[in-house]
Amino acid sequence: MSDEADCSAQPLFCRDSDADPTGTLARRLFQLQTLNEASFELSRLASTDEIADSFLLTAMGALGAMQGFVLVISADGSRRVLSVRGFPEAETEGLRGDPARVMQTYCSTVKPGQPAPPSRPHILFAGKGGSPTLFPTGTAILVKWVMDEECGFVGLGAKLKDAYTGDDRDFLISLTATFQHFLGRASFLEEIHRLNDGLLAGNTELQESLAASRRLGKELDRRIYHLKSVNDTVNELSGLLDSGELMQRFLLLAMGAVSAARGYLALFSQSGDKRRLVSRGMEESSLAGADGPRISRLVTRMLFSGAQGCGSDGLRRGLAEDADVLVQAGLPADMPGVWFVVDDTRFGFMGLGERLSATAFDPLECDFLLTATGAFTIFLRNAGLYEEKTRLIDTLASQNRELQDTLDCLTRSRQEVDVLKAAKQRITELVRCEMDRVGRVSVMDFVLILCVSLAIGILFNSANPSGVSLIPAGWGRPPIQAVDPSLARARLDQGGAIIVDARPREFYEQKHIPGAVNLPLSLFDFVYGMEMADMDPAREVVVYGGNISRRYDDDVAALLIERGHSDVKVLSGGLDAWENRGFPVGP
Amino acid sequence: MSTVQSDARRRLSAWLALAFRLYIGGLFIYASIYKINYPAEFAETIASYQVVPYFLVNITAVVLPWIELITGTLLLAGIRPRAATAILGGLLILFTLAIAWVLFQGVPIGCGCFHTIEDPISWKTLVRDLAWLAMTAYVFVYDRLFHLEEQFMMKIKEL
Repeated sequence: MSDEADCSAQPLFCRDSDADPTGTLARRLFQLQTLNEASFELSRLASTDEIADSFLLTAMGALGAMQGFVLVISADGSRRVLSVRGFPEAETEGLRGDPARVMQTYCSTVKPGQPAPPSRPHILFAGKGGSPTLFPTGTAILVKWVMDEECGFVGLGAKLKDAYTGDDRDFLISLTATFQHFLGRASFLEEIHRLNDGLLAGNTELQESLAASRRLGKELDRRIYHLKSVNDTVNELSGLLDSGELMQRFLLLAMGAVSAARGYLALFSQSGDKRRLVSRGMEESSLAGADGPRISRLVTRMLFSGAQGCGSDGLRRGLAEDADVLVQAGLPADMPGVWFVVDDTRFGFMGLGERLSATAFDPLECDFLLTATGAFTIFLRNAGLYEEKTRLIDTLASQNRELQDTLDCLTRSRQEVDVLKAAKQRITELVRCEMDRVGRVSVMDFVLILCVSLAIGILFNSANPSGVSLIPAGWGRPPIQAVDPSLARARLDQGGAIIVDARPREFYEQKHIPGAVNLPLSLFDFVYGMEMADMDPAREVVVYGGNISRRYDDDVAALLIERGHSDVKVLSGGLDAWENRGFPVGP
Repeated sequence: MSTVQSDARRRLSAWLALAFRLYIGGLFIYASIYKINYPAEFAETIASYQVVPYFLVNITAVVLPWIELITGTLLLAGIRPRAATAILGGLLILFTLAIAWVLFQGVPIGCGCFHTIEDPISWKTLVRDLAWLAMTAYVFVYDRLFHLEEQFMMKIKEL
């Protein structure tokens, strides 16, 4: 914009020395134009440093100063804007080195977080020499303002020609106010840019986070699927207590989880080299080379080589994918799998082959296989314990039955023993009674002895030449006539009868009827021959001498009758009847 | 102490009873021999006592010696010794009563215990029979040694 054009368009401000003899109007016009241009120029700038530089140049140019500086300090003491023109480097050391000190010295009211009352631009110093401390010594005029938490200073050196006038001061204040305005605007723009950049950065981070979260979501989905598979496997295995069925089910689950068409599960026992094998999609003959010792070496090698799976959970299992290792153990080389140790005596291997993906197991499959195998070993251990428990229960039941049978047998035996004891007691008592009875004197003894004596006596007597007749002789003879003692005495006294004493001689000598002839039975023949042989057979003979034990009178009378005596009589009542009649008896 | 003494006394009684048993058994066996061989004479002896009815005299003379022989033998051998002792005791009682009766009646006869011809019965004869009767009672009470029948019978201890 040239001065001529302005003059023709605006006659009020035409540079006419007549109309403005002091040049005041022209100077003001110049200042206004300067302000206008400065505003236009500053409005195009966005950076505070550029605004400060442009403002400093404008101010120096408009006021004719050779030196100048612009300093804006934040409340925290950091220098925000510094633009220096024309001052030596040494003089601006105070501005560059320690802005906090400038802030503390000239803007002590401004504190971080405590907005000070705004202060429009005002002249802090004007004149030559004695410029404020910390500012360049050539500073001729110094303007200060405070806005928000910032404090700003604009300093200019001396003018080329003269000193600063009042118009210069006002103009500098106005220009500084404009600068302050655009500085604030620039600050806002910068803040907006900064915020925008922050938003962009945040947005970018957000996008990245979103992508990461999506990846994590997918990973979590896979993890959840994996955990669900493991959980399903564990749930399905948890209800099984038969080890054979457990092995079948686990093999199927593992084959399904890793998409294998063939698989086998072999369980070995160190004691006795027992092997249990289940397989799917393959012949068991292909595992003929896999015996207990070879698998045991495989497991031992894996354990000591620190293979995967020896975790802190105490479960010993791991992957075996190396074909050489599998071949050494007698296992198919194309069927990698999992080795595991159930307990101190059992271990095994599960091989999986013909998978859909030809690559090795991915981490999730590895994790699944290890986790599921760990669960399988636990369930297998539990199944073994359950089977052991069942076997023990069966054994106990069997032993209980045997014990019960034994008890029943013992009870029966005890009852039999009791019965036998009672029988023995009874028999003992019977025998004792019998022995006592036998030991006692019984009537049977007497009867037996008497009968035997009687029988032997009779038999012996019958055979004895000097035996006696058991039947009294008088029983076979006709009865002999008896005579009463009175009649007999009368006959004796008459002498018509002879009396005979038939008793043994001792009795005769003891007592007899006077005149009686002693004719004992035992001496009959002898005495008869001496005493009565010549006696008249017809003479009456009265015989006496019978007692309870012997019928001497009858016997002698019978002998006399046999000798021919016809009148033989027996004294009735014997000697006792004779004596009882009072008839005489002599010694 | 008293138990030992009573045991010794019991053993002494048993041995004394054994001696009496052998003596009485032998005595009756000896007494029966002559009577068995001469029953007629023994019948006269029985009749002389005038205590047996005339129709039982002969049968008594035939049977009584055998009773003496058999019971004496059983006593000697220890077979049914108590029954034998009881029978012999009963016979001795009968004999003693008969002798007492004869003494009381004053019948002048011999004893006839061993032989037909013996001295007439006297109080000595009665005392002798009483002594034999006492021995027999002692045997009946205390005899328990060397019973032959126990060799053929079951012991209670074996049960």
